[in-house]
Amino acid sequence: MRFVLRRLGFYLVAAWAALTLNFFLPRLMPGDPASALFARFAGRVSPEALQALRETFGLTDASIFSQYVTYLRHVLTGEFGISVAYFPTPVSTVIGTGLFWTIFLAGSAVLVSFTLGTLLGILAAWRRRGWVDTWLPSTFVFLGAFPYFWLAMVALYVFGFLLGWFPLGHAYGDDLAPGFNLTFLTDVARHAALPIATVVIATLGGWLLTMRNTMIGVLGSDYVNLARAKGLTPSRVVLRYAARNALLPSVTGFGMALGYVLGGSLLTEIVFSYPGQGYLLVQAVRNQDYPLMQGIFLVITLAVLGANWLVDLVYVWLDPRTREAS
Amino acid sequence: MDEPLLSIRDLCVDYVSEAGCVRAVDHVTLDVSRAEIVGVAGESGSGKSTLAQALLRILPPPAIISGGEARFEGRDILTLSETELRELRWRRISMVFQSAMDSLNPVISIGEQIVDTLVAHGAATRQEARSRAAELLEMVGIPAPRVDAYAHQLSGGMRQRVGIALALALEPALVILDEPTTALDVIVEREILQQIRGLQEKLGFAVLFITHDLARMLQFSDRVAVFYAAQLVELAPAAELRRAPRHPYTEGLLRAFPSVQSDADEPESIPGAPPSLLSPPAACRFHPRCDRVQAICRERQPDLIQLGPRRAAACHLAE
Repeated sequence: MRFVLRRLGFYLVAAWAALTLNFFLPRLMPGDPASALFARFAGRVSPEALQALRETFGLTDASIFSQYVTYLRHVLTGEFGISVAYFPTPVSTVIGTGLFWTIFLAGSAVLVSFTLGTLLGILAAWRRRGWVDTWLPSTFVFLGAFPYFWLAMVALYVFGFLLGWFPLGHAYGDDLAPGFNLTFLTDVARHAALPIATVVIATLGGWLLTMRNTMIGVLGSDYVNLARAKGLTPSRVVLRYAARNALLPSVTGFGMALGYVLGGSLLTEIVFSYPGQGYLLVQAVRNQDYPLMQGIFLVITLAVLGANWLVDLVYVWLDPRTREAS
Repeated sequence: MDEPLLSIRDLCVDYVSEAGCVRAVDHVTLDVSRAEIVGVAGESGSGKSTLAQALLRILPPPAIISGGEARFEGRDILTLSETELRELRWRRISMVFQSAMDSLNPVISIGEQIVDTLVAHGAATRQEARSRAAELLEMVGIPAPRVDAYAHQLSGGMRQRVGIALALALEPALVILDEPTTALDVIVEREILQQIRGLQEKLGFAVLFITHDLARMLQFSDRVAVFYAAQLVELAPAAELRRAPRHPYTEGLLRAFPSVQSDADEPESIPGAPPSLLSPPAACRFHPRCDRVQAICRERQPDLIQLGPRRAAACHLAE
């Protein structure tokens, strides 16, 4: 328990450092970002939006310290100002919907890919030189070697456009009102199927190979041999003694992949016009929506830190050796 | 005399590799009686550990058992099905592994590892097994509360004790000790061997004790089998072997250990190095290193000759 709290403390410090950096970076840029921005937006954006922009950056006449305090208070209360691109929606609301779709889409893609890849990796190592071991790793590494956006576009073209099995974009049909009912949920699933499938195909090979290779090493270890000698059933030897240990490096990889979930699902969302975080970021850049960008960066940073903290906890639960280590 | 507990006949184990086929255990014939301690001595690579793993049929993949028989309690281990093998393993034959460091699963508590074994063999429910695990640990001198400890929290000696407790969990008829003390210092080694001896007298299991430490083995075993280049070269009761070895290799081994009792000779090593099993010397495998080599030693391989009711040696000079 003390370990868990100490890790939490570490992540809080990291989060604070990220927030501070986010505050100081615009001020470290050569020239005055505010004047440049104001000049660019003058006449095109309402005074409220300009004011929002000012406040987000804390570019008031107050001292730098009080600006910093204001900025921190805004961040803690989720006050990122008003979005320029989606004027006059507050940035926090815009990010809120985007975040939901991203977590749903990329989260389930990474989860499916990790689970499936790891299970297949276990199977490949268990039945070495068997059917799974011979064909799947090379096939998926081959598929994973294509640039992701190309793979996604081919899939969209073939299954979405030519065959018409899946919709071409968005998170749900325009004719549906969001609600917790079967029609809506099936529609969401239909829209998510293709993006999730392409991410899974592109990343499965990595999980499979990592797990297979670690498993092969662990299967040759003394404690697995002892487990076999103890007269345990093969499935118990493979799952409880070998896979349980071989999983550890993959869990670390999973933690890093979660970063991809929130930051790197950009291409998926662009190709499939999916209204997630990455899509919003592109919109923000296109419209020079600085409040939105800053908000998205912050959310990504915090979410990655949070995800890593969770993975840390899982790791501690899985590997007793890390409990006393630090 | 009754049938021996374990009776190995002409056992052969091959390692198949690209460089060729290596016979790591070459026509080995050996008996172990009930409650007997049989030592297996030999240099590294002489096939001792391979023999041990063959008996539990846990040889790593490139190794295959290519011939012979190993009858245990009347059944040939080598022909058992996977299910029969699972029942035999640990319930009848258990093993203490060479490296105490690596033979315990690092992410499962030591108690759980004992519990797993008991439950897998239907010896106890999970609840019963836990208290039984604590008892077993106490039997080898580990305080019962440490049942929840993990391998990395224990010293080398304690881990090996856990290995012993684990090996005795199902009260097997035969315990194979595969160099159980190589990784430990001398003091801990002696304590552990004494403990095994005490438990052996109390529980009456037979022991196949594998080591390269001949001096230790002579103290500990009833009978000693000496291996050289995958073959059994001499078999004799420990005291007789020490007093009157009949194979020049055994003699060399005995001379290679300093004696505590007599301050006479400096230890002397056997000249040369153990042969490669990829291309072992023709005829008697020891002849290139033997100081009493005869013409016949280069021509014909000696058979294992019975020299008495409990003695045998594979040397032309012993005839």
